[in-house]
Amino acid sequence: MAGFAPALSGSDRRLLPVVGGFLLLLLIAAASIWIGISSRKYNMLVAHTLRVRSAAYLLLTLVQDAETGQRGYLLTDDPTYLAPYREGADHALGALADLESLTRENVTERGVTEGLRRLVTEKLAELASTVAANQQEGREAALAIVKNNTGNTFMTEIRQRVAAVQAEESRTIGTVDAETRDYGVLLGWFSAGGVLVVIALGALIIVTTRRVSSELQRAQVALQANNDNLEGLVTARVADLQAANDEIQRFAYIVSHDLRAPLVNVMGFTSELEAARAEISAFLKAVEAEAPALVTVDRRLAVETDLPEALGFIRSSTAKMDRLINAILSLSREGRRVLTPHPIGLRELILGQRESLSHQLSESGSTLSVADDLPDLVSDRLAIEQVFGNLMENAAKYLYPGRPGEIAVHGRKIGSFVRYEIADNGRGIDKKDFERIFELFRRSGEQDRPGEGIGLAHVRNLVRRLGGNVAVASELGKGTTFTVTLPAVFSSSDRST
Amino acid sequence: MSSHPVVVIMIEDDPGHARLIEKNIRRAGVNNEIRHFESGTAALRHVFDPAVRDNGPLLVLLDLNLPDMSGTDILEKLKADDKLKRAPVVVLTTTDDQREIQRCYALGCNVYITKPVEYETFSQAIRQLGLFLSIMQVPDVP
Repeated sequence: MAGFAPALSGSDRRLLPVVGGFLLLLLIAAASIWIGISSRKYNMLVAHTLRVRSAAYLLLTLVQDAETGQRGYLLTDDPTYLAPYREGADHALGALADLESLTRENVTERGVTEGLRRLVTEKLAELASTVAANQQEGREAALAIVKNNTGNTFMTEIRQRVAAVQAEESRTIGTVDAETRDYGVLLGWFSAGGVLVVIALGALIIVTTRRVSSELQRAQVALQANNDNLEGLVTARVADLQAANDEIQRFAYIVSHDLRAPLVNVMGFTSELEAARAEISAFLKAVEAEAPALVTVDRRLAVETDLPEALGFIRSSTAKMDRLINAILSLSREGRRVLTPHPIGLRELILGQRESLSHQLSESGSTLSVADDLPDLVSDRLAIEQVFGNLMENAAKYLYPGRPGEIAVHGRKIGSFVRYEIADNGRGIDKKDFERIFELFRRSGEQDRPGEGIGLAHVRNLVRRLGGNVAVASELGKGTTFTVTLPAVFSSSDRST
Repeated sequence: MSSHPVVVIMIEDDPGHARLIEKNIRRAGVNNEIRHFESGTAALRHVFDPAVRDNGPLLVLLDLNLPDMSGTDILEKLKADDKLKRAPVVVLTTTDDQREIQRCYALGCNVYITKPVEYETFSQAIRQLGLFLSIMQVPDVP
């Protein structure tokens, strides 16, 4: 598992160029959009220019049409020529208005087109006056107006103005054109760069992905190998533990047996000594009757007090040692017993045990309640009996002085495990003794109750063999709760000792 | 029925135990000869000696924990022998393991006594054994 953290941060680092590349792509896209918008603006400008130019050209054409019609009419006196004249004159002002409205927004253009109105109006007025003169006063009068050359001057000025408008438009379009060409080139470069970046990024991502996936594959293979190895390792360790445990059990068994043999002697010969002392005591009495001076206080004390005292201590110590050895023996015997799983109705089992505790419970006015929904389990019946028997017996035994015991047994299923709680309101256990109480021959609190300190060691030993664990929570003076967690279904192959 | 008194063969490596057993047997008023062996090898050599094997009734007091061989091996050998198998065997040991006890009975042991540390119980058991010895009839070797 340790190998994974650096690999992750490594792939983080590998992501950096990818992120950077995407940022670059984003920039290129933004630039393209900007250039697109710019070229749209250019297109609009070109369209505008074209419209201005055509409007200016139309105006010129119309004025020229009017003049051509006027000339023809004056030359031939034929009124048919008045039709093109009227056409031009009528539409020239409209064309002028169009041009003005197109150029109103642009200051330079407006400057160029201003003045056109005066020129066109006056040209049209001059044309109208010649046509009118011809109709009313005859050709000579009309020609006289033409000859003073004002019409021609107006026409020339109009042409110049229109040319100026055209020129201005050409200039604007030229500038914009150059700018747009630059943008176009830029867009080209940008697009080419973008394509290159995309290709590079694609390559980078493929390479990175390949590397990462091959690393992953290697890691997976290594993990699989580790797993396989681990299984073997665990099996080997379990076998080792099993062997060590068996060794300890055998050791305990042999030691306790071999310790017993000398103890038989100690006890036996102590009894022989007692018998001998009784003889001496009788002898002393006889001596005292015959020669009282021989029986000093010291001698009497030695036979009547010191010897019995010494023998008494030897006796009580040997008795205690025998109990301890028996405890080790029964633990080791229990440890070698083969556990066989059977379905157990735990509630019934506990109710049965309450029955055997009933005398002890009623003596102190204590109660023991068992939850209705106590989950059942499949386990070794004898072991379970001993576990709960010990825990309930302890609960009934270590009461808070003067307070009747209230013992409650609860349980629930947690996944493939069952958890039971044996809670009491007894005298409680000091926190520092939580571990100690599970050790062999160790006890906690006031030593005012009979016991060798074996029960809980036995309980823990059994629970562990059943593949579970036992824990304690307690507060001095308040009560104690023992929690036993066991596999709901014990299979003897789990722990075969 | 033979007029030969029963000879007690005591196989016990712990001299203290041997002495205590002997004392208590004597206290029970049993005066039969007690032959004490501290090892299985010596005991077997003695009982398989034709002079012993073919002569007179025997009673074996057997301790299971011996330095040179296991008591059950001795029991097996005794019970496999045509003549010696008639001799009652009293197993006297510190082992109170049920499997061990069962094994001894299966092998043909007649009485199994656990040596209790509690001396009174111990001496009482031995005395009762003594009483048993004094009234028991051991088939003579034909």
